Amino acid sequence: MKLRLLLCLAVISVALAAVAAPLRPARRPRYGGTLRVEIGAIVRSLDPSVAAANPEEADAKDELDALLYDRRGESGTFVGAAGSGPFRLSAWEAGKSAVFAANEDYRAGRPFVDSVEIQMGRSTHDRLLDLELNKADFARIPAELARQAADRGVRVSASQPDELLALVFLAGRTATENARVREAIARCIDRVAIVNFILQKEGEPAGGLLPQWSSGTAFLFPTETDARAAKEIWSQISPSPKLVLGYDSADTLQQSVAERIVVNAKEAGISLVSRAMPNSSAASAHTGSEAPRSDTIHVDARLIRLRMPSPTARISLAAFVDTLGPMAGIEADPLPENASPEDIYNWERGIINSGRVAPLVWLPQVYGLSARVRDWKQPAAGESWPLAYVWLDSTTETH
Amino acid sequence: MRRLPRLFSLRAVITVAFLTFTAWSSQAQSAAQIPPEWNKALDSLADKIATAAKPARTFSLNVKNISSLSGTDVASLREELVSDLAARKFRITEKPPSDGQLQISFSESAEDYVWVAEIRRGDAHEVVMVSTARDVVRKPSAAGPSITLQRKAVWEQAGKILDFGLVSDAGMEGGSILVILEPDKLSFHQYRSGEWQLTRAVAIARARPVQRDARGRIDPPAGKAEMPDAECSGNFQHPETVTCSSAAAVQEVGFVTKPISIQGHTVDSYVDLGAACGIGPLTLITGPGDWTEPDFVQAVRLKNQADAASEKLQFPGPILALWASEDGKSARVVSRNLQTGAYEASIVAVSCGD
Amino acid sequence: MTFRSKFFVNFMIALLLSVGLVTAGVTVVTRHAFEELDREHTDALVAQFQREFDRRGHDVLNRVQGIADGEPTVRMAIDLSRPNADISVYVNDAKGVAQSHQLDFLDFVGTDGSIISSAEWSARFGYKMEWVTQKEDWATRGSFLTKLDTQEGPALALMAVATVRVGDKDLFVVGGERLGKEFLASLVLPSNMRALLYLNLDPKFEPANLIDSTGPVNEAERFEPIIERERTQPSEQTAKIDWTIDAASAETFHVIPQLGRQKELLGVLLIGNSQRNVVTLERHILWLAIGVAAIGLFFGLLLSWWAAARVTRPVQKLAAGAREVADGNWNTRVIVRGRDEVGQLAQSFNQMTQQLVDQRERLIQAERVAAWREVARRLAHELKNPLFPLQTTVENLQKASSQNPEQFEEVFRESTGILLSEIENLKAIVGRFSDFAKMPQPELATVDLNEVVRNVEKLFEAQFSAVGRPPITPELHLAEGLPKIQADATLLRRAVENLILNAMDAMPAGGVLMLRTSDGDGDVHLEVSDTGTGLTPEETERIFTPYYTTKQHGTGLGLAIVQAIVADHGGRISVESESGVGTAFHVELPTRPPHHQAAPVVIEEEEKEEA
Repeated sequence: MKLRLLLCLAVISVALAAVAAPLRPARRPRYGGTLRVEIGAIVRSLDPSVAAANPEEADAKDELDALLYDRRGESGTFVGAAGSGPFRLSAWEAGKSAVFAANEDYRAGRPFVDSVEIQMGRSTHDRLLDLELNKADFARIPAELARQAADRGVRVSASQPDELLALVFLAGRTATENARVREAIARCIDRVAIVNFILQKEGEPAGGLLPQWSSGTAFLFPTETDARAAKEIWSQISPSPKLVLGYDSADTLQQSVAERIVVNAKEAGISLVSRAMPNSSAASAHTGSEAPRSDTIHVDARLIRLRMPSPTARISLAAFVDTLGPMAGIEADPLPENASPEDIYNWERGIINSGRVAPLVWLPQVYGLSARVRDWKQPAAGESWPLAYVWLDSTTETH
Repeated sequence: MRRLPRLFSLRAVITVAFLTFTAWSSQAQSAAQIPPEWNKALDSLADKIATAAKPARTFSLNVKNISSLSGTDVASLREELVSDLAARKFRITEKPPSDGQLQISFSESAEDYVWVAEIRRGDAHEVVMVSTARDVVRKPSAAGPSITLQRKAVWEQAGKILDFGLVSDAGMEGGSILVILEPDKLSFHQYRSGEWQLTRAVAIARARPVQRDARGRIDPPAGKAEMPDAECSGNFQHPETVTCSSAAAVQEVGFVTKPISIQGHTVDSYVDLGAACGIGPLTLITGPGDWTEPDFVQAVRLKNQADAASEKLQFPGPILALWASEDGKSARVVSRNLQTGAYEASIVAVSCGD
Repeated sequence: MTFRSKFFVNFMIALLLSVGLVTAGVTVVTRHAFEELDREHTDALVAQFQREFDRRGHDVLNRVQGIADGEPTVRMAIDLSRPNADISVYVNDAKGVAQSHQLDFLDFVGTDGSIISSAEWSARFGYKMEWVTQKEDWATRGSFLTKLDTQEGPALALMAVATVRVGDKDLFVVGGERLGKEFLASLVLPSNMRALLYLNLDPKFEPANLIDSTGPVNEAERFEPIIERERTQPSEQTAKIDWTIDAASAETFHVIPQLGRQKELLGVLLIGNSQRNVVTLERHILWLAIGVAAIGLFFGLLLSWWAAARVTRPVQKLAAGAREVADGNWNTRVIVRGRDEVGQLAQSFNQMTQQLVDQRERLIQAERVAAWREVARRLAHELKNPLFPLQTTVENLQKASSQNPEQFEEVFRESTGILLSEIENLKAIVGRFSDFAKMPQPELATVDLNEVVRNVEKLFEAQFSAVGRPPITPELHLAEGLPKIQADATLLRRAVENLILNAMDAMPAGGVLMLRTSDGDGDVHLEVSDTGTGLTPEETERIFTPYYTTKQHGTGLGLAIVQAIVADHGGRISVESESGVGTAFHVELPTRPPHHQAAPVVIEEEEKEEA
């Protein structure tokens, strides 16, 4: 009898385990502790008048500002005084570290953690290692390392893909003025292989400028490779040009993707070489910032990261076009505020059909978290890190 | 009569039944009827297909679902669409010959459902689509367990809701006053001209900032709204009588539910209801996730090893507050929609039958 | 060429010949020795290359096998052998493993030839490396040379393949090292040798593919013909490159093809041997030889100068003396010190000249006596003719006076007439003799012989065509630019007159009188020829003897006078004649008459020598 009861309970347990989400005890937040955050960027100053040297620093500065300010204005910039937000700056060592103490008087309530300690300039390798050794609570992880981090026991949280890696054919380049040239290159790219191998399945092949979850119409943009068609198109182009694909020298993912595209092109008989471009303003373009400069070194096309400023398809698409327009020579009428999904699709279709942009893959924002971090909510596109909402579970002790 | 083997004892039967129920789809809602908004969308889609496909009339149809719609919903939508197309003199055929292929994709964007029709005729390829709101209230299906939980959305706002309640409007027969307890105020809304209108908001003054995990509870009949560090009192039917003040000391008691263990898991958000539908006392429990995950409400019978008495009623975000209503058959639920970020006030009621 | 010059030249020829032969001999021997040494070095270097190649190949094989035997690889193979295995997990593995095992190339290749992970070209995952799956027993194949595609382009690699088999699935571990400048740097080379490697990775010759231990080689284009030969027909060969016009810049290359698994040409090893040392040594030998020759030249000059002093100078003096004698200065003495053959020769010379002088004196004396005798004879002959009638006439007078006194007056008148006629005849004979005896010494002045001949010819023009006489046709052939001579114009004219008179006398029936002048050998020549009866040989010998004549009338002194005049001018006169044809007188007059010294010429050793 008891045996059968135990068996039933075991079966129930298994069934529940099979059906339910990972079961953890529903816990109430606890106050206290220091959240240890590591970032790769070096932020030299939080002074708004000091411009960031590169988009990486700009992104990091934005995240740190979100801890200090209460809210953003309509333009996206923070309003109010520094320290009106959930945290106040209590220690600052430019380019090295910062400590943000909880703001006891924050209008939305004091954060659960007592402080947030930021270590800057930590390499990807060091961040991963520290997460693995529980020396860090929160750090951003490149999407292509998410799987490796998870294999090493790091708790990984990935957002919906909200960052597009695309290949842009630069305006004014004679070699790529021929639409057939652009078509051949776009067709030869194996996006699935990039997602599976380079991104280790953390991402999605991209055929359009918006991800499926945002626009709902991404599936209408094909992502399959057609090396044979690319080869045939290229063979009809005479004289066939030699092309240069640029990538941000500080972005290892761009480098890997560029090299893979070169290999794809080579198989199709396309003469394409990749070349690193100086980091400065050639790294991922934060939508809304000025277009990256690629005039210091000659390239015919380049890879670019475009991060969605909002989950709303219209807003993100408009922001992308603002960035891509001058770079790729794309002109498009602005979308109305009440644009329907069909309007957005048609707009997007027009840009894709111009052949000046070849979306490659969608990347999620991936973060590594220590076991003690609770109530972590993956920020949506355009949202800052919700460090004011997390709390540290002392029952999962850390070093 | 041959006695059943012990294997088929009552416990075993219930266990298997529980397994069957728990192994079923996590969605508590089942679609028997299509919401009118969806009908309208399908109609529009059929119009667009008809316009784009002219003059062809015979198509093979392929449907795929890449949204969060259930299989049942998709089947219903397909049926409705075929009917709409037939009304427009379209013929859907499984076998050739046909004038073209019609590919219907039920997709969704961040905000809405997006339903796409691809019309292929030879080399021609046209795309038309419609969009419709995703968050609609659905009537429960006929099929299902004998107890169903129904959710009625009462209020939604961007600001945090601690609790809410409805009282009858003394100034208007049949009217109601919606009382919303927020961390910094107690607001009163009256239904006028087909919508809720804010009539009074009483600020809650505090010496200290509001706690991050602020909690609060309203007792409308008693005219009280309580928080660990503040309280309001007055006649809620006459909002002008209500005042709020900070408490001398923080009182946690009454706001923190003693956690219970269900099948070895700790649940600290639940309410006890009375018996319903011939079934003993029910307890509404919430899910085990934290505030970053969608939650659910489910009726269980605690005395029966926490047997599930209903399907899970899914919420699009965490349930932040769960209070039993005065009638003992419903609960006030405050949740947060992870998609929109809005705080939603709902009443979950137990109903018998489908 | 002087004896000294000849001596010097012969001495130098002998010296240079011997030096040259020695130099050539040493050079040839040296070159052979160097070539032999080069061959040995090259063979040693090739052997070293081969040993290093084998060693590295063995090392690569061990490392690749070590990777294949390692647990991570085995686990990978097991994982990949499952159905629907996720190969993307391993895409980055090769790079780390390659680094830890110090391999330049490493690929994990699946059973279908797809690249799972590549260290040298990480982006090539998914593409095929089909040659790996060809039927080959990699376990026994060992290491091999192959061409590999990398991100930077094709590369030459020393590779090995190891197989990990799980069930019916294979995982190939393909690893290797780059064959490039690092490999060449590991070779130990003598200072004058170098090793180059041409990586045959492109369809046509690429200069950048020719490398040495530091990288691409300068002026690689010069190797193109060598490489192209190898590409056409891979075989060991030797080739030489002259880098500049300087022979020392030449370099000899031993060319060895490097073949791949399927005998395709993947690389060309060139062992270069600089010719600088041997050429420099040859140059040293040459310069040494030149130095020796120069020293020899110097010593040769000294020796020749000494030899000349000892030998040629006395000989030159003797030669000078001989020239003096030839010039007529028989009274020449050569003073040569020494008692050797040359001294004896000089003594003999002096004796000879003394004898010549004595003999000349005697001859002159004899000629004088002969001449006086001839003159006496001629005078006796000439005088005898008129004296006989004189005697007869006087006898007749005596007779008449004694026997026929009545006829004495008549006889006296006849006889005195005959006496007076014969006395006149005697006076004429004495007068001509006196003229001949009183012929003056020439008074020298610059005279144009052509002018003299023209003037004399004009004098006789009237006589050439005189009435009652067969005409004589004069022909003048006077050389243009005839050098002027130092002569007595009057005597010269007289000589020419006598010659013309003589020619006219030889042509009683008329004929042609030719007057020709020419020059040569420092003399001027005058030829006076006629088309007369000619002379017999006897007459030719005696024609210049005074008072010898072939004519019925005439003193016989005309040609003698001509001869005397010619002799006084230091010239010479000769005659050639042919009876019945004509006679030609040839007069040779020097442009400068010989210097008659009263004192003897003495040629001392101290005199400056002629060149």
